[in-house]
Amino acid sequence: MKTIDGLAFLDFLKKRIMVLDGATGTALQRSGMGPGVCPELFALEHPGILTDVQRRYIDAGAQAIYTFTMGANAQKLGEFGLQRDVRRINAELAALSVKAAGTRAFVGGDVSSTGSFLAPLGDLDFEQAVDIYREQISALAEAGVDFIVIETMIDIQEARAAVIAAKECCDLPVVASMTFDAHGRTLTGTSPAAAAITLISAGADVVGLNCSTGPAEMVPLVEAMKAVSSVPLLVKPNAGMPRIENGQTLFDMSCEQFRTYVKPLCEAGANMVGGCCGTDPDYIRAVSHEVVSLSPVPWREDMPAALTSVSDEVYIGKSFAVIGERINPTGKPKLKEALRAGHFYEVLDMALEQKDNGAHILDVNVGLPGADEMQLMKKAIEMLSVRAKLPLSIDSSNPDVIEKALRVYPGRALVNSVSAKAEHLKALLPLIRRYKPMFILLPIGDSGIPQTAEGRIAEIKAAYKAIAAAGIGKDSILVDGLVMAVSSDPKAAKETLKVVRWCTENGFHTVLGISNGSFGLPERRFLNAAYLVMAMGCGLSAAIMNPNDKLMMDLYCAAQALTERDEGFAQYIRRFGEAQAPETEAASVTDAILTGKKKTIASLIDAEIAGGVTPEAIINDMIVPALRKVGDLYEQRVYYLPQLIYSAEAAQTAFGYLERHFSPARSTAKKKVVMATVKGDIHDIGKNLVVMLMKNHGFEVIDLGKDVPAQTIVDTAKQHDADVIGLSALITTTAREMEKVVRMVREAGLRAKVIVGGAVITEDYARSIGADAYAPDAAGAVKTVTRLLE
Amino acid sequence: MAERCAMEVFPFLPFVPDKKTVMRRLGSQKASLPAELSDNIDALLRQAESAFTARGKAAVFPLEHLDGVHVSIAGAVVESAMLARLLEKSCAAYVMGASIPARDVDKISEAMRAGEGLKAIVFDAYASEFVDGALDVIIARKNEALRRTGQKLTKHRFSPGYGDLDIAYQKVFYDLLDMRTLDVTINENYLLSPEKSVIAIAGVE
Repeated sequence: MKTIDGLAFLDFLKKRIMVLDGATGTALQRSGMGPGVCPELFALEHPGILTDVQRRYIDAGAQAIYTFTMGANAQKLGEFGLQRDVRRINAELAALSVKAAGTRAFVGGDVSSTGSFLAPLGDLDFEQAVDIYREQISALAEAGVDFIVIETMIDIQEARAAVIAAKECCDLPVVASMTFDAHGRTLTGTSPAAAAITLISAGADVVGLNCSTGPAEMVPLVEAMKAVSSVPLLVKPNAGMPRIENGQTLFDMSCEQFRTYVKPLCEAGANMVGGCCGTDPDYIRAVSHEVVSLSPVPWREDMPAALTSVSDEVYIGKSFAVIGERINPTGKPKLKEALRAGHFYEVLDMALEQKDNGAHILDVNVGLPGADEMQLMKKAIEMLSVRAKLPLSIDSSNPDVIEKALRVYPGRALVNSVSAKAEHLKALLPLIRRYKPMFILLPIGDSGIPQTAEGRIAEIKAAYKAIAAAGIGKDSILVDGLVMAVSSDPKAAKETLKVVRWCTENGFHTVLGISNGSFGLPERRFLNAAYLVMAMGCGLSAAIMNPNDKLMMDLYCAAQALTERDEGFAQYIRRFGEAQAPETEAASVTDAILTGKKKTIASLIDAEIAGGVTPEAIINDMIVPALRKVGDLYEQRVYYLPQLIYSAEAAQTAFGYLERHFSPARSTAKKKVVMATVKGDIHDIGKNLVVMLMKNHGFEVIDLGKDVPAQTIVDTAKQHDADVIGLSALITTTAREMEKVVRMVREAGLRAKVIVGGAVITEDYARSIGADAYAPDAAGAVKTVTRLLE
Repeated sequence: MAERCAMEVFPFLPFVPDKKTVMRRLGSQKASLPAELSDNIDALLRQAESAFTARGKAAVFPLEHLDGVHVSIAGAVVESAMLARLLEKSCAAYVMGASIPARDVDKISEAMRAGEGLKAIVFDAYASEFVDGALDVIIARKNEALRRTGQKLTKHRFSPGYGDLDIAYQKVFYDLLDMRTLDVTINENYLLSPEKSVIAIAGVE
């Protein structure tokens, strides 16, 4: 094993900050590598250029260099017909770097993206990606590199595939580095903390970030990663933010400026510092001079109690976690049927409904007799990871299913569950060590479910001994206190709560499957809610429950506020404060329309009626004038489209309420308007807004929809003896259809006025085709039609 | 490399439009909306994030001929000075398409039918931004792939129906990408259906 200054790679990082190399590809481009050529082939054909660059980096102070093999995977080499030469090219390029480094620097076998998205974002299967990386990494390892570096990754799942491949084909330290944009997310939307947690759980020995932005932008991202990382951190910034000028990508930051960020980056927690695009040996020399006086910031000992989805992280303990229980076929024939047919929309709908109602984690159980649970779980994970974007709890009793799920899940999952039985621990602990998920520990030992708290605590202690011996910390565990039905044992809840309290006092996170406790009793929701609140009082960290149960969610929210887990009562106020506000804000029906407060409109109308105002007067003296005022405000650009529509919705609610309860008589017969988006055009949002506003203003609207033939419009107008025909078109080609409609209306001798509108329509165009009027927008259409009919 | 024409397929394109861009589409990006309305829009945007998905296809096509007015891509001659200018330094064209499936797009009209006008306009604006952003993801992915060979896509992209690129050319690019495989159809006016579908062209330079 190579050492630098007597220290092996990972030992070096404990003692010192490691200086890495800078950009190599741009150096080769400056030395004649033209656009569109295979860079790896160019480097092999010009070995002197490559090794000269690498030696200059080492001379400048780099203690580690990367092989020039970033794109030397089968997928990318395949673009040049070199897919069969992966092993040779990696071996030869690695040999050049190993020779150039000698004993002066570590050599990282460089691996990066395949250029394809993995399923379900793209068509590359996860295991195919693992195979592609395994081929490349094993060649690099055999060629004598000192560590594997997976860099410039834009998709967390692809990075995971590379890390898993590396861990499976060699014993070298694995470094995984993502690229974050100026908004601090990867291209596929992963946050720095979620990326760090996910990569560490996949097996990375060092995590970090490189490329895309400059050092200034990276400081907060390093801080975010450091807070959750139980491994060292790498940072390789560009020489400032890239700038495009005359088609060239330029970097403006000088090496002196670059040097000023080294200290902040290291103080934020970077343990390896180098440069990416735009940097050269002068930048690395500057880094090297700066780190001499700096000491490495140590990293946390254990992984945090946190789960990740493809985008974000959810911390256990900081606030209470609701684990949605609905995705489970037990007692759900519709879900069973859908899963058997291989349809996942039912699963998706359940997931999104639970998410909308406040779930933080989704439990996924797709176990069905006779069905392929492994395939169902894989598909469910693929769909939910990109659609629901919440961390998943893998709920299965089959270790093979759990392993497959952990392998393909693009984050850090929760395993539901691992029992304290010796055989179960033996089967699952190796998986827990390998994929580092959090897991639910059931205190059920070889002699069954202990009835007392003391018995369960004894099982927890015994199991934790084995778990700790496997190198797994308490923060990876959620102990299930075991909720049993109180109907069969009245003391059951008391015993369970004792377990929760003991766990809290002894540093274990806890979870309960709340609804089991009320089994066999009426009005279970009250028992469930009370159980939840009592358990939260004992320190419960999470519950597997139904987030669609409003009572449970309201009480969890209140209990969280009372147990100091809702800073500033922010969540409580968000949930309950908003519901109260509109009740007091709208002073009158007119005010409610103007401000779009549809929730209070019924009570305001009731108050007016009780005060002797007639329904007709409410319409004519309150709602219609308010709508006119909204139209005026919109025209004056005081109101914008959302306010216009918000008010329209409130008016719609008011009309609906009046018609249902008071049957008001409208003063005059309704004028009839036929509305259509013309033939060939499929855009109808603008036309739909016109319809909505027209109805509010008392018109009878016959909405023909979109892509409507001219003859249908004319026939309908004739049949209803319409007063107005409103036509919409979005593009110039379909606008021509309007002319045809106008001509046919005239030929048919209809009395209806024709009004036209749409994105490309102008007043001049309206006039040129013989239309009676033009409206620039929905509010304008109402005004114009009103004027036309006066 | 630019001469090859392997079709890239993207079954799920991950992108989350930010509120600012959606509000700009609603014409009120600078307006200070009442807190309650703004909160409602935030809630609808969260719903939209779960409601819409986008899929896409893209491929590099050879540029066979390029003069000031005409561009010949994979055997199809397109007349557009603006497209020719965009591609003047390019060695190939990158044609891409993205679409939100009908099942998702229908949620806009469903909201309108249910009298939820605000939801309909927010969903509509979100979906438009989303499908546009989906193309940004395809471009970013391609740029990442091209970077190591010193190549990149043009900073801008162009779509049929804009500038002097007649919308009739939408059919040419629709066929090149075989957008039918994404369940996208094209009508006699060259409009794509589902409505939230886009095609764009960038250059590889």
